[in-house]
Amino acid sequence: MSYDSTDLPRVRQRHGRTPSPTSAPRIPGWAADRQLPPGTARPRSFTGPHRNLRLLRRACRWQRRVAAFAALGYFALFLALTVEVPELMTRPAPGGLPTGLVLALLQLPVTWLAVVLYEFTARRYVDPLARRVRRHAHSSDAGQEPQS
Amino acid sequence: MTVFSGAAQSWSLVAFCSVVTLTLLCCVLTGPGGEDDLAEYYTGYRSLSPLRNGLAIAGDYISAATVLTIGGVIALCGYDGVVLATSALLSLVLLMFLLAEPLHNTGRFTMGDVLVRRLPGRSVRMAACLVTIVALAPMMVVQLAGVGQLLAYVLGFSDSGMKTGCVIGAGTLMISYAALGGMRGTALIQILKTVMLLGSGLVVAVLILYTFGWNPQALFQAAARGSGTGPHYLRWGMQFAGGPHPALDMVSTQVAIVLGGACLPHVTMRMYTAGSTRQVRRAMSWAVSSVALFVLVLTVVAVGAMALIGKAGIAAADPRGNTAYLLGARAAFGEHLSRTEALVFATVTTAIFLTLLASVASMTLACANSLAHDVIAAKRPTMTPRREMALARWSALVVGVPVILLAALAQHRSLQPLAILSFCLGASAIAPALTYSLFWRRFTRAGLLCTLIGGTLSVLVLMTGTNLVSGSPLAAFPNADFNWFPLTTTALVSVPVGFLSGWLGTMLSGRKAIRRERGRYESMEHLLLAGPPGRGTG
Repeated sequence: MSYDSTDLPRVRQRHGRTPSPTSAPRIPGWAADRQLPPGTARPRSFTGPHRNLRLLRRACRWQRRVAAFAALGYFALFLALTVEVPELMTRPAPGGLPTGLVLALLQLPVTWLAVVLYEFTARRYVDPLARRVRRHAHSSDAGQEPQS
Repeated sequence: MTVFSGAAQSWSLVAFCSVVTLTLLCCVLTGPGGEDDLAEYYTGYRSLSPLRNGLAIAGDYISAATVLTIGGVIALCGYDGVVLATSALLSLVLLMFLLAEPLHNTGRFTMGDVLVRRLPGRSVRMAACLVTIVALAPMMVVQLAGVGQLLAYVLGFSDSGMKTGCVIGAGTLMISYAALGGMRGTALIQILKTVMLLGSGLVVAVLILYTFGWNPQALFQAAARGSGTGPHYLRWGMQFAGGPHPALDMVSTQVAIVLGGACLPHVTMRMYTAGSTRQVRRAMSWAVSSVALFVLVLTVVAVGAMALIGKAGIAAADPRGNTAYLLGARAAFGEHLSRTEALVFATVTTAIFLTLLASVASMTLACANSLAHDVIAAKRPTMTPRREMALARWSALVVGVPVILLAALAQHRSLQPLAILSFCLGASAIAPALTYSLFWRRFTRAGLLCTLIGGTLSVLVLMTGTNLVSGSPLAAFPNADFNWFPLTTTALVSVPVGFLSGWLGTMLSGRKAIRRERGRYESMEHLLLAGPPGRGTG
């Protein structure tokens, strides 16, 4: 769904000029809402906060896509089989019930597993990055307060 | 009229009265105390623990329409109903995976806040409020009208004036819950309801499984025999057997439930009440677990109703099977009720009664908050919090009174099209608007308005042509026939219309606007992904 760009748009330096905070669309969003006093040099490095944000974006996107496509995919497949191949879904499964019904009821434990897995991956891979991004935003906000 | 004996009826009456008193007391005690704290009224200070918040989300999500309608479909159509119940669960799972965290990170009080954070403008707020009310009002009418029918059924009266009295009484209660309790008070009622519904349902499900020797196969086989259709009960196609395109009908209904169910504003508003991103995730885990458990309970009880009573008994009580859950619960206790059994059965009826009241109260709250916060308060930025809160309380009345009137007028008609209308609006207008504005950086304001208006209009226009509204004996207008749309649910057409109009509106709004929105998205991306700075992960 989201627009795929691996990097934030870079601050272009045309003809050796330092980019000014007024060229809004070109400034990475990270800095756009922060008003630096005129004349202050903008941090040039793309490692610290930008790298964190980029990593966080990639982690979130990966996690959301995999989770949503897995959930929707299973259901779409199940629905398609139900409607298109009824003979397969009415064949008795090992428990004696029709396969379709077993697959439908199987969704409940599978859902629960998916939720546990989602929470685990979010805590393991996404939360630390989010914390880092948030801490930076917080500290830069706090650092700015005395100036304004 | 009713199969319930005197003991069950008197216990139920006592339980209903005590529940009403208790919940009102809870609302008064836990409602916002300070007169000038908006955050307390709208979000309850974000102070609920994940478990409680999760139970409240589950409570909001399991509306009475879900319990009674899906219960009926499971009982009468078997397989189709089970698929419907699992898609209702999937909808909540998708909300958790895709929207819950971004909504929590960017939202404040209402859906309008989320949309405006991304695409500022008064028109956006107005459209958000309008869609909220148009999507939730039909659902509220369905449930309020259901209160009259449920009370008439359980307590055994058939007088139409009494039913109207019940509708008005329940409507007054719902307004009081919303106005007095605010977010916190309704959360408490939802928690109470979820616990009661799950607890009593589990007891009944265990009893039914015990009757069939803990063997699901025996249960389903008995139900298939009871349905009179044999093996057809265990395969798809009974629900839409009469229509011209049963397969498309089934897919369309599932799309409406999966995309629309969890996007409705009274569910998403609970995302703003959690303290942190991690808490919202935990809360959703609890909510999904509770709803999964309830789906299981609902399946067992509804299938048990068919197995124990048979099709004739269920269809005689209600042709759509809306009372199947209650009938199943009653049948599980056997022919004669002992005092304890009557008490447990009264818990089941009370849980359903509370479900009706609580979900209507949450929907009123969602509509009233949107009306007060998005439309009136946004127009006057200088308004004091105290005034805005008074306004939000009055808005509950403004939203509630017309709904009560509509419910009293419509209670004798088939209300299924109204419930489907709500789900379709959620899927065709709200789901595309939220996904686009949270994940698509080029999305513009024109695109958002196109999505909201285009999706809503397409549903409203197409819905009038379905056979739920006219042209069939169980339709809302059984004597008229202006049925021109071939499907029962509009989602298969209206969801693509909603998404396409958003895309088209964005593409037509020009390069400059797109570039501006892209810049704005980037400036709020860290907020969207990581949450506001200073708020911990919990």
